[in-house]
Amino acid sequence: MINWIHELQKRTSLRAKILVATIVVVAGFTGVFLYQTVSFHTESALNQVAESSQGLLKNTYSAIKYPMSVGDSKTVEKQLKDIKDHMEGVEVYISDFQQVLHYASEEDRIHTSIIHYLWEKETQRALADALGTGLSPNQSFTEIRNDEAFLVTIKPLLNERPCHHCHGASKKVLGAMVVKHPVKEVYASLAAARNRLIIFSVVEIIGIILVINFLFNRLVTRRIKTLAEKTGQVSAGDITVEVHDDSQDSIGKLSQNFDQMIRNIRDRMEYANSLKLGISEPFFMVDPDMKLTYMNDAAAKLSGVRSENVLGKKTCEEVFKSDMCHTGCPVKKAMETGEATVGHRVTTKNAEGKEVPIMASGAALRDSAGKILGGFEVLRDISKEVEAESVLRDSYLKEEEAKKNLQHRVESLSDILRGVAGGDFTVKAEMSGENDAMDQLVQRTNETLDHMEELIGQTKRAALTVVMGVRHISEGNQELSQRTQQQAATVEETSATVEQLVSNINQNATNTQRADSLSKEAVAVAMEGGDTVEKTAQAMNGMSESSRKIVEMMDLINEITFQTNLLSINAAVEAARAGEQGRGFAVVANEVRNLAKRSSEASKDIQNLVRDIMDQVNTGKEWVAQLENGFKKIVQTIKQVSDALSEVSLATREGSRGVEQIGQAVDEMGGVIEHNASLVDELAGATEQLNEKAGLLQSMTDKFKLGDQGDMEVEELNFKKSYQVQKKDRRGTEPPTIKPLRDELATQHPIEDKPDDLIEKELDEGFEEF
Amino acid sequence: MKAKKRLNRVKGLVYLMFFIFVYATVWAQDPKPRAYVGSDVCQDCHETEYENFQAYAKKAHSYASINVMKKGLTEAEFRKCFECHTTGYKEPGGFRSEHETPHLKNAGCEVCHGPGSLHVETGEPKDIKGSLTAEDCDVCHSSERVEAFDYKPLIHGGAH
Repeated sequence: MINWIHELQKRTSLRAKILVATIVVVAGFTGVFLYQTVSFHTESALNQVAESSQGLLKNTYSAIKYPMSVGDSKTVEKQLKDIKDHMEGVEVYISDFQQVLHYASEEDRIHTSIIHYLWEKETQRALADALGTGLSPNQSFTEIRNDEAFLVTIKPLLNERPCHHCHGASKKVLGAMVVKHPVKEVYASLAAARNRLIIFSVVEIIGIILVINFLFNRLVTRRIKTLAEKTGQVSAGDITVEVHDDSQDSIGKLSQNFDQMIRNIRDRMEYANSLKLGISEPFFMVDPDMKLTYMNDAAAKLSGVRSENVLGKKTCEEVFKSDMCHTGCPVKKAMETGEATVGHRVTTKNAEGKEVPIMASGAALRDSAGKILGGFEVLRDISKEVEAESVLRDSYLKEEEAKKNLQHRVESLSDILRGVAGGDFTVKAEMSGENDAMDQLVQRTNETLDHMEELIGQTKRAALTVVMGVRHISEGNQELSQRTQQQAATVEETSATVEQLVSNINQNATNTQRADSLSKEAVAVAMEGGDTVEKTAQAMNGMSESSRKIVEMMDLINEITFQTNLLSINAAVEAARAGEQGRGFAVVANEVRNLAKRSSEASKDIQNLVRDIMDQVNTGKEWVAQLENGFKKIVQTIKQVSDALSEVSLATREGSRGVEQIGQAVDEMGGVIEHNASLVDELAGATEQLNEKAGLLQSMTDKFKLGDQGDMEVEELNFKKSYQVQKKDRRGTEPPTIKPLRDELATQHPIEDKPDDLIEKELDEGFEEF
Repeated sequence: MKAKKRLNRVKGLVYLMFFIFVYATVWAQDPKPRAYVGSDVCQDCHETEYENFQAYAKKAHSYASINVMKKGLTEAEFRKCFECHTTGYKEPGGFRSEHETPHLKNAGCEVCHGPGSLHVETGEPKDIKGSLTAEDCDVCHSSERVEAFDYKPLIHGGAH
């Protein structure tokens, strides 16, 4: 079967194949499209009818639900009859759970089984399932018999609560409602539409096929047929054909590429012929039987034959008669192995019978399938090359000898340089006396070594100078450290003295203040004394006034006494007049007169006494006045003393501030000295590092062994690391004098360990410059 | 032992005879035993009411309503219908089955007025329930059935 199809494919023309393929593809796609369209329309129409049936079923159920719930069978029957009268062809059935009809739009079918009116098994099964499960089917069912077609929709009637009164509660499903909707007209409409669509599709297919076939014939078949004819000519060996198709589509490009390919083939053939003719060396070609098929003029000249006499008739061995024809023919070997053979050097005889050295190279000739069609061989005359080769061999021997000589000299120079690398400058290279480049190299090397020796000697001396310079720096640093230490001690003593001075000044200030306060107290006491004297003076004045008043009173008393005496005389006179009766009175008057006398005497005594007192009081007043003046002078003097003491106290405070500033200056000086000490420490550390570097430089230069001029023995210098001063922050915690490391430094004299003459020598040489 | 068993049997027999005697005495003393007689008996004296009842009341043919549903019901469910669709079911002298008591198979006059045997014998109105209230209807016309069927007692509408 497959072979038959294959044969049919081979024999059928391209146009027929494309026609069949077009028919199959177009008809296939159109058929699928047609089928999908018809199916979609049918399904859509049936869905609409199914929805209509569902609506009818729901409406009918809604209409009969209430009458059934109250047992109103007549209303139910009337509803179904109305449906039959108004909806032509629609059938509604209500069966019990045993599928016996109780209501039907077709009244004659009541009390019969509904199975008789459901034709399809699938519909019957769906009704049984709905009665068993109480679930409505997911779809409607199509029933077709003879010329009738119905869409059947089923709804189970569940035993709901209002139904329990008559039907009890034991059953889940009471029955089912079935609506059969006639779809005969729908199917007829669908069939008509389908038929129209099929007719249109067939016409469309035929039209498309004809158009495609026409276009394919014009655009493809005809052009490929032309191309096939041309390729047939090429396969027959005619490479002069040409194809003219300037279209830019694939067939046009195929034709153009074919045309270009034919031209390329022609070019390559011409190229191969040009190569063959362009070879000036003797060149010949043979077939697998080693018979000559081509030989150029050079080969004919070498063999001394005419090519037209031997081509296709004689083998190469018969023509060239070379010694390699039996030992190892290159072209024969190439045809056997399939690989080119080159560089076979053999000897052959030319037309004059003279042996000629030649280089023979051979290769096989193949077709496109790799089959060997023959071979060719190129013979190159190498007489001149052989002669040049002998000359080259002699030159090579001479060069080998010169090379060995040169190598020996280079090795000796290398040994010297190895010693130099190890630091030995004592050995020098020797010259051969030929004054060639090698001698110049040796001379330059010796000069270089001399310069390096001198340079290293200078470096050694410079390193020694550096070492000694570092020593002197270290000594100077040590002395600087000691002086700094002494300076710090002095500053500290100064600071202590200043502190003591500040203390004394403060004590003086305190005493002065106390004297000032005492003088002020003395002023107060003196002023109080002055007040007392003043009060005494006032009391004395009072006493003087009182004495004066007493005198005045005594005058009055005297007056009174006088009057009293006068009265007493008058009384005595009167008493005398009275006689006897006045005698007593005369006595009294006499007594009174006596009293008056005594009073007068007493008043005179008092008056005298008072006058004495007044004199004494006046004297006292003068003394008191003198005393008051004395007190005023005392107060004035003491105030002057107090002012002087205040000035002394002010001067003392100023002096104290001055001394405090001196103390701060001394402290700052101590800080500066401490900073100097830390700098000295850092200088010691830097000196130590410099010493290490100088020692390193010295050890490096010691590795070199120099000649008499540059070498010198230098005593190993070893600085002790005790120069290092332990760095501390003395500013805040310790007094500047407490520096044990500096004491240690002071006791060391590293320079004493060195020989004096060497030091002096080094000092003379370079320390000043350093 | 045998003598003792025999004595116990004699004692049991004596007690049984005593209880039978007491029960018979009490029963014999009830002068008016009442039973259901069926609506047809009422027709002779209450002709108008009987005809109205048969013509307009559904109760007059209530057994047909349950008989038509009998096919889809269990026996227990069917007997449950007798309580309201027959006369005097589960009561002395009441409905037992369509075959045994065909005159009581529909809900007749005595469903509301009570057993009428004594009234039939004496003719006295006091021997039967004459005036009725709505509570007498509630036995069957309960709220559940009113909801299901929308039935209303016709007592105030002049059923007969």
